Amino acid sequence: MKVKGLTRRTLLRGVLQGSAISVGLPILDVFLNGNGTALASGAPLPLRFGTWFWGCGMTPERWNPQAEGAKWALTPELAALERHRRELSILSGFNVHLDGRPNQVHSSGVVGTLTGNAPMVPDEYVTPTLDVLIADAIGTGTRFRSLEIAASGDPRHSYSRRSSSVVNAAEVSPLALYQRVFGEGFQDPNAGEFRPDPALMMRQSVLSAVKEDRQRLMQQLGSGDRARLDQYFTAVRQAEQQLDIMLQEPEPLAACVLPDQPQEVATGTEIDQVARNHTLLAQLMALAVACDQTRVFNVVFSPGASNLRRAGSSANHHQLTHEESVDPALGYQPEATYFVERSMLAFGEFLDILKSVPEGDGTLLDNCAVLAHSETSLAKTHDVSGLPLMLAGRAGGRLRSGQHIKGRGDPVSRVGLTLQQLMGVPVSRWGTRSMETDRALTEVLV
Amino acid sequence: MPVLHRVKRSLILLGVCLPLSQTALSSVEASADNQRVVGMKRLTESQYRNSVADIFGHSIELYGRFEPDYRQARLLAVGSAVTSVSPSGYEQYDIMARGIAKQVVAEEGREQFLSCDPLADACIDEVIQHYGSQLFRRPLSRAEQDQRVAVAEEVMAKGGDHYQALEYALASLLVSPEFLFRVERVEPVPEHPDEARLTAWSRASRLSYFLWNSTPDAELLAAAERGDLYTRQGLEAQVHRLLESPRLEPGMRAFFADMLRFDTFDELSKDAALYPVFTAEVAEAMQEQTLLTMNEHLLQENASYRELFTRRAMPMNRALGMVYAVPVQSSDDWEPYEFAEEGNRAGLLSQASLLSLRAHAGSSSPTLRGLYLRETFLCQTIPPPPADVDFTLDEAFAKLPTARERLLRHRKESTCAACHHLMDPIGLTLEQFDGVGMFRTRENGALIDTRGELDGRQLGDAKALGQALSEHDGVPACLVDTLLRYALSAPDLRHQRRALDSLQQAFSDSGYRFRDLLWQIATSETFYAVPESQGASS
Repeated sequence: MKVKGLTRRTLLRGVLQGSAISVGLPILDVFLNGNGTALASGAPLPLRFGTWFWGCGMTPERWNPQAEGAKWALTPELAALERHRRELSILSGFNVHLDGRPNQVHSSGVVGTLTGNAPMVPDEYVTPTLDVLIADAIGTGTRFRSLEIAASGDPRHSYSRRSSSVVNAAEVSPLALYQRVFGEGFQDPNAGEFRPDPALMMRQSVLSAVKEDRQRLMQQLGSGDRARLDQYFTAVRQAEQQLDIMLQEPEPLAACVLPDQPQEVATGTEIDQVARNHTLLAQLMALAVACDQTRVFNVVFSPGASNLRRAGSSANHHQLTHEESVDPALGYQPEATYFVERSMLAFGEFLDILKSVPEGDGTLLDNCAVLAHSETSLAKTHDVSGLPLMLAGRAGGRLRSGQHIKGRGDPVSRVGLTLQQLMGVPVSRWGTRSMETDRALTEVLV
Repeated sequence: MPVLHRVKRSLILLGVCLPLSQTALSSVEASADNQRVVGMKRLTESQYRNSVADIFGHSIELYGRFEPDYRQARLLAVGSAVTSVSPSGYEQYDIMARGIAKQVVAEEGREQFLSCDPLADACIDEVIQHYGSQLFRRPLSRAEQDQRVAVAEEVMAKGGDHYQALEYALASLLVSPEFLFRVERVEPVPEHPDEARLTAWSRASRLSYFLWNSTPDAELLAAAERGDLYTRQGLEAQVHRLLESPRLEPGMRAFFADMLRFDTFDELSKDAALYPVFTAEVAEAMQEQTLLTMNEHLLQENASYRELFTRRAMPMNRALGMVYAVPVQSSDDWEPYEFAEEGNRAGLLSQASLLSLRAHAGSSSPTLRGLYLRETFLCQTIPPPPADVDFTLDEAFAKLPTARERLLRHRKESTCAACHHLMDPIGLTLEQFDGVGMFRTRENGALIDTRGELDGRQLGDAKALGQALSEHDGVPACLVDTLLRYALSAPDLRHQRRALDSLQQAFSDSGYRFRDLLWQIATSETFYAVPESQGASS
């Protein structure tokens, strides 16, 4: 049952023996972004989406600004972000509505924010997460549909999921991230001369065999496992697109500078070590984005129920949020709060890193929309109302930044809907039950 | 080709599976239309590693990283039946597949891996058939075979040589869903076409992944081909052989590690200032010690499972000597060690692995240890705390020196007490072991009181807890439940109640011998039954 006919394979067959050529490939959808704008020099720069997650939330009285709009004043727990206040918007007062479902501690908040649905059991993702939906729209033309990093050292610290069990695992080692993106298979867009690797076309043949295996298997399959085989097939199709892209001569990208290969570093949960690894991973991620290897990135600074700790301390961040007493003089938990402040400091550094890459007339950050979020507001009580959210970047001029927007108890799904629409996902309603919404946050849209 | 000829002969001597007969190929072809898939289990990381090593040899290196395994209903084996492959996971499988295939055709590997010269007629076909039938755990269908030959032809058309042609054809087997998943199929029973049964190949895979955590070997595949796995005698002969094989130990190691959740060691982080002894090497040795102990006790000695909780002998190495504060002669090897009868340790629960795994980065945790023990050894679930509970210790509590005193708070509040009385009193007996399992008598200067309680039985210390567990009827019952769920990748055993009861009885009759339990499960009808929801009527 071989499918014969005009495939890209037959077109290319015989043309390539490793010589430098430019092949007249048929224009494929994958080479266009969600808005039909091309990557050619002078044309609009690509739009990117990212998430930045930290665990165990904040102290509402010390994090939430008072005044709405552009005139919001910095608060103690946002102080570290002072230099970015014009580039980010603070969203306060948005809730995950549980609608009578149990509060799955450290899970309901993040799942609700990213899927618009409160989970019935911990880590239940009934639909793909926000970043996956957006990557399906804007990420199909790059070598990686999305890239994930976790500074906390565990590949499982990733909230980018196609389903409960299909997790886009995070890179935790700067060296491994470097090798994946800039190692074998990387094509320097500024190399000048393009030599398509014949091995890539041989790999295309592998995929066609695998696709037929899947086709045969599908015919024997009961409904239960079809979804799983579909997920496998989605992965295969992405691998196929990746090869198509790698066979295409890349557009020169002024912003793309190749990093040096980093050293192997130790991973762990001690806060200084995590902060250092976060910086190294973020720098590589920024260059991966600048070199247009991906348009969607997900960063975990610390996981939900944050396991970050200070050297020599017997309790980690999560334990502290529950066990530390509120200091009567200060009115908050000083030890736990230290980690909130460190998290905001790290987010500030992340924005610095995106800003440090010049692109077009501005910086990489100008062409990104970054959602920073956590799984609780006050972690002590696992509160999923008034979640701390921030939107950074200008999304190529589409996102209005520098504001404080109060949600007043609105479902957090409004944020997810807004971001999808901003990124060109054709969706008008999003979320389930009382989180279903068709109301985007017009305040942040230009 | 005298050299290659010799290689082929030595492969036969090594028992390496050679291409299955043409008859087998066509019989599979003929029946494939009647087959239905009733289960897909993604190979776990260890299953992938073992399968590749068993098929290609232990010299093959794997490049790439595995997608994390997924745990459901306390077992990775259960999660494997619901998870799939993410795009980044596929990317890694692809890297590994190409890495393996490259080593197989590399100049230095050819003599070991290839039975013929790819330049020779029909050799590529032969090698695909040879490795394909092992990787897919059944003969390839005609279409699957042709597809790989087409890959090889295409690669040559694109300028590749014969070795590259073979390389990519092999890589296409290694990223196929038929390899990455254990695909289980049913077919109509020949004498009763309205009834379904697992195909012989699916039976073989189920058996070998259960007992060996790896792919069926040539002999098992041959038994499947002959239909032996459908006869009592034939099946028993194979189960007997698998149980006597040296591959049983690495196979059961996977079960022990899954049951004890040793994969979570990867997430474990201890404060270096508080626990300088806890290095990566020590963490590794802790797990190894427990796995070696279980192996010795349950497989080599075939001793009673109950006695695992009072056993005083455990292997020791120099890295662990520091943790246990015992002298170790050998500098780089394991040696037997037995704690004195009047010593402070006995049984699995006093091992540093379990004590470290369920403790905080900078302290012990009676609650986490109690919870782990209930879940792992008694198969009980305890609901999570209410989301809005205020865990904050009053100043008065926070200043108290020992965990026992600080945890009194749990007893004072009725919302906490309802569950915590099931956990804390167990964990408190283990309080003389700190966050990495080192012995201590004081916490913050105050003497530690190790009294506790398990299901109404008063306990004086950790050894009394071990004794109580060894006499607890829930303990062997839980092992049977966990092992059967592991074997079937089943989240629960609602549909296997009667089988479970009879296994429990048999386990008890055998004096709680683990090997006997393995035999009972591997030869039971339940183990090969067609999943309830996927019966004969389709």
